[in-house]
Amino acid sequence: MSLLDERREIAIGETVPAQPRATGRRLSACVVAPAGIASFIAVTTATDLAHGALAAAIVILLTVLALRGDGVTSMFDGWLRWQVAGAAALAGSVAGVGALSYDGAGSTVGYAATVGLSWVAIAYIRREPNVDRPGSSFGDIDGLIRIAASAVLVICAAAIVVPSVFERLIVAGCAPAVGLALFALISRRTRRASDGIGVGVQALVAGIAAALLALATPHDISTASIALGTALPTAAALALFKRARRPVRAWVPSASMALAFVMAGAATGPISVVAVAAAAGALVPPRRSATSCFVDKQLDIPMPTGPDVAMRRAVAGLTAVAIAMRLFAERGLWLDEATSVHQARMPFNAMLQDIYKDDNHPPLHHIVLWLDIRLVGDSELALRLPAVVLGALLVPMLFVTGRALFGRRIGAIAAAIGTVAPIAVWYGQEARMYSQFMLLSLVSVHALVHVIRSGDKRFWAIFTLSSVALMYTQYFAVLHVGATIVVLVIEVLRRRRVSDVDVDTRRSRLGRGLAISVATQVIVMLPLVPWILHQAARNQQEGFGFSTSGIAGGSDVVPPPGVYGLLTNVQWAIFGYQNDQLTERLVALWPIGLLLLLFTLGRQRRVANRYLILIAGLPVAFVFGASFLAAKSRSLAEVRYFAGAVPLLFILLAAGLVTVITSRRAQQIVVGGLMTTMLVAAGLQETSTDNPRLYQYREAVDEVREMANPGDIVLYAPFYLNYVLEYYNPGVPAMRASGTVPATPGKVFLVSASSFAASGESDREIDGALEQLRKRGLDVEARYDFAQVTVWEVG
Amino acid sequence: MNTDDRFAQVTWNAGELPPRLTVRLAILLNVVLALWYFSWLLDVDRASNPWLFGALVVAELFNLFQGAFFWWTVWSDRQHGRAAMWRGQVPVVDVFIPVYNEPVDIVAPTLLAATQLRGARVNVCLLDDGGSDSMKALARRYGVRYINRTSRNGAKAGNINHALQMTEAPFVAVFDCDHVPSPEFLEATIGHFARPEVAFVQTPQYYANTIDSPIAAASAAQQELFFGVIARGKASQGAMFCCGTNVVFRRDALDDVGGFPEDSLTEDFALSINLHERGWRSEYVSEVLAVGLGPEDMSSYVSQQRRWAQGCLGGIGRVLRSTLPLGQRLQYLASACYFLSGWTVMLYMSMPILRLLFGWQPIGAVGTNDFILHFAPYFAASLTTVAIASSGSFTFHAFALSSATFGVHVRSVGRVIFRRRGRFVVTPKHGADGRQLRPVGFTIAFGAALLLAMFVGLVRDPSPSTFNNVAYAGLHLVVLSTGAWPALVGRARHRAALSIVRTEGEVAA
Repeated sequence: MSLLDERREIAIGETVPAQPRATGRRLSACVVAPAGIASFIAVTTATDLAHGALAAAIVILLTVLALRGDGVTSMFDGWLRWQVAGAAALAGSVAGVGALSYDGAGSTVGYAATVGLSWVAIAYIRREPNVDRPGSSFGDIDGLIRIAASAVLVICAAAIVVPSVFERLIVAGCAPAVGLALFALISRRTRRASDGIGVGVQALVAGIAAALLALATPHDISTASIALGTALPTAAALALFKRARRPVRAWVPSASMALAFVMAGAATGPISVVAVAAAAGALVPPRRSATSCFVDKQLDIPMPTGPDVAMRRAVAGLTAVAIAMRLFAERGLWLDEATSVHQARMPFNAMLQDIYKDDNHPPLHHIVLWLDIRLVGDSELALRLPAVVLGALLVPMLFVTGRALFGRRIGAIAAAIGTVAPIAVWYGQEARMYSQFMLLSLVSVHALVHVIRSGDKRFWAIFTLSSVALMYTQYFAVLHVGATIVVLVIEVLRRRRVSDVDVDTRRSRLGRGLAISVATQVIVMLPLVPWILHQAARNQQEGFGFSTSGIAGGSDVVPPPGVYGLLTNVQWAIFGYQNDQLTERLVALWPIGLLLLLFTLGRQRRVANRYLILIAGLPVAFVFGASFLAAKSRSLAEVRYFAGAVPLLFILLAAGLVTVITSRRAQQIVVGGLMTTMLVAAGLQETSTDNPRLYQYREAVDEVREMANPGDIVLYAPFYLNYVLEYYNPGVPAMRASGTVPATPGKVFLVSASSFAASGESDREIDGALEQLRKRGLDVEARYDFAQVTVWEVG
Repeated sequence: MNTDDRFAQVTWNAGELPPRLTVRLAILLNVVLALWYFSWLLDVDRASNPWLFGALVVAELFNLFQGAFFWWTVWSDRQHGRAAMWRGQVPVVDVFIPVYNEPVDIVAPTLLAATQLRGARVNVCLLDDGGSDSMKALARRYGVRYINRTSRNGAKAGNINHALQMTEAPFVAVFDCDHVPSPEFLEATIGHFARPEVAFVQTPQYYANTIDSPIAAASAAQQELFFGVIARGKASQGAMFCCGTNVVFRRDALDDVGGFPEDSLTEDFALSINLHERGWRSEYVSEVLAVGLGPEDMSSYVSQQRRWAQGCLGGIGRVLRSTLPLGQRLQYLASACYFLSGWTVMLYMSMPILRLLFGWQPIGAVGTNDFILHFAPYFAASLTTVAIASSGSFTFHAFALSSATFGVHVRSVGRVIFRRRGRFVVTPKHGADGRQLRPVGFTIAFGAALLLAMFVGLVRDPSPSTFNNVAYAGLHLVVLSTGAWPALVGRARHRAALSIVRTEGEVAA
């Protein structure tokens, strides 16, 4: 039997015995370790004693790891590869140390280089054919990872020489490597592979959770000792517990270590403990075990069969395109982003207090942004990096979820749609929580599918964690989480109707898992309750609550809740934010929906379809229903508040296309046409100054800065423009336009915003200020119009 | 290996009942939403062009009438299983297979299967109106009786009536020459005649050649809607009518009404009215007991539909004049009136054309919100009810084929009004391979008009309202082109595509 045949057999088989593993895996740990250690020591010696202690701890851990098992002897088996890997690792160390001379992003660049080069090392070491990995294709994309990592090497080396020019390129270069690695991580299809991921991720998450716990404690206790004291036993317990029956891939420790280096390298203060936690994740040892390829038809879902290397490569390419599209954000920050940045620049505890007191959102997005600012910096690109990465990860996630639900082809089409969909691109560029919302929703649905299919505990854990993370990301995500729980309840009830011992067992297991998951979610959600109550009470007081009329801002941009509003949201979800004229015309095409309804006649009814529609539809129905009934409240019926439904819509769209259009060529034409249209729509959305959501604050403030002289002042309305002005800094004092305009020897620049920011109050403030200035004998010398922003030069 | 599709496994379960509670809830929802929509529509203040508004209201009311009868029929859907075993002396059944110049290879399997029927002593008769030697030879080969006649008056009805005079068994089964009965056909049906008031027992028509032809597939889906939920519902209300094949009659009942009416194009429909009017009852067994061939090309489909449309529309007067109980009469009326639906299709398609070219529209000054809020739920609920009640058997292609041949209904109304006598045309059993533009000429003309209107509208006034009408026009265009596509490309292309799929399948296997 040839290798190909053997693989095919295994792909559809039940269980195959474990094969001897490649020798280089332990070696990879040994190679990565010195590179990391070198970098880490370089950083820690430059800071303080606490970091030195942490460095020592990590050195000890890594040494233990390096000397364990057959790693040392393996080195001599493949000395040539060792040379290649060693050279790469050395280059990474040099890059990392070299990057020390730069602040913020520069430093991170160095550590990103280390990560990338670690991948080079791993990739070059693991050149053996994957005979021991039937059904897995990590090795299949090794080539791509190698290419991406090599690109990182070149780009980072160049960046050290000319850092300012290459900043964007560096991110573009690093992201595919990390994206591909994560893609490889999440696109497993064998039980064994998921086991590996599960253990690694659990250990990592446990460690990070412990570190965050440490961060939240009073500072008179050593955060490092708390982190070490919590993370290490957790990871060790996990490792011991899993040892008996669950394996982990060799690269998981390596990746964890690489993460540790990045964290530690850019660390200032308590963030270093995250590095320790990540390193703790690396303690989980690689193991050997049998492979089980399982098939389950609980959801009438076709299991993927046969090699899908080409498809995976296509998705990897799409991910790269997605990163590129999201990186090329030409627009500056808008109000909400600037507000987030203002908060995330505060010390950690102060930020949490500020959100608690003055914001309407849970804190997870701000925590991510807080970490991002400390790791990468606070340039526009740096601020948007989390959204870019999470937004790009949506693409492979769409693929794996679509594949799990409906098969490979639909998964790939959904990924293609997600790559260019204007709304996904828009929020993949915005330094807010919506791309995180989309990705986490999809992760929870993906876990849900596997939970229903196999009842696997690891997917229960992912489901629970993603649900909790969702609720800590956006309060409206509770609707998504609720919908997934409804689906699980329905599934439990559905299985009741089937009298089969196996199904019976699965049902009770599903019911038990659901109960535990919901209980866990409730417990983990408890700390959020005081936040919700406090924020809701404050909203109510300030007139932003659900039973008050609230601000009028955006009322002419967001249509009132109703059928037309719903159609507008569907249009936004598919073709993004366009100018009003185009939006009206696109919405007028609603009869196409009638055609789609007709298309559904006679189609096979799938349980998966119904569940997906339910999960996507319930939040939308609830938001619209609530907005419709509470007509007094400001409009919440807006796609970003149910952003979690958007990726599900993409999967449904892909499934619909493939179901209705049976000819392969016609599918290609239609999908190509749709992607082209979306691409054009995304371009229009990004560049059209008539897009009511596009604000040119940056351009406006740049104009003021250029014209302003000492003695000039800036007046602005509405009051929350302060964060934008704080970020872009006009170079002269700025104050709210209300009340008496202060006397000034120079000119006065008035800045106001329209669209969402428009309100009667801000108009009155601007008019009042202009009136006062006229009375002082000053005239409007010039007026500058930018997209949704106006500047008056009065002198 | 036998390659005749009729020997392949039957893939449709005619007795599959949808969940009753779900169906009834869907119907109730439909009724509520219909009231919601019509209470909004029937307001003359909304009229923009009064003539178009009137036409729209009539069309919508007609569709509501059709929908209401569908809901009424479906409401009483229940299982109609096989009859209890026949007790007593083995019954004698004359099995009639009327033919008229059909190919031998189509008729031979039917003859053979007829001779193998169990549950009765059968006298198989080949009723050859074509007088061909090959049929005579075929009859001789299978040892069946060959009946020929000198005149061909009354087409199929005349042929059967002639055979009735020459035979004498108490029961008569009729099969179209392409419908191969299963051996248990009589075992499943004959028991119903234990009740003396039963005149005939009908069983479903099922087309086996769905893979060979998209038209046959769409046609089969239409048949499955009728012989599934509609036939079961009609049978529950005692209004199932005879469909000309796969049916067993009591000879006494036929004698009582003077045999098959020879002046109708749908002799089976007319015969059923006569029998029910005389107090006889009909039964239905919702199980596929004979497998036939559907029309394989557009020409065959159109000729079949034209005959049914003209026959049924011509029978409306007879239904109205009949002394049938009200329920039965309404059921017959609804079935006959179905063939008026092409007019509504034509009207709906004309609306965007008139709006885009001339600015005429039935409803004016209505917000999108308002219209969608009232219309969309009704539309969606109607489709959902059909989908649920038919257990998903009615497909988009079936709908599209029916819509694309709306011209058949339109012309048939004209022929009935002007009393143009139609000709009984036997549905061809083998389809043609090339393009068939003639049967869809009307459809092509409308498609061109829709395209022109879309273009002119967008050039003249690219307003949101125009976009809305362009979308409507596009919708109709997609439906029309889907329905007419097999005629536009021809079967040869379908076969070529099919052979590629099969080859790939074989390679994969």
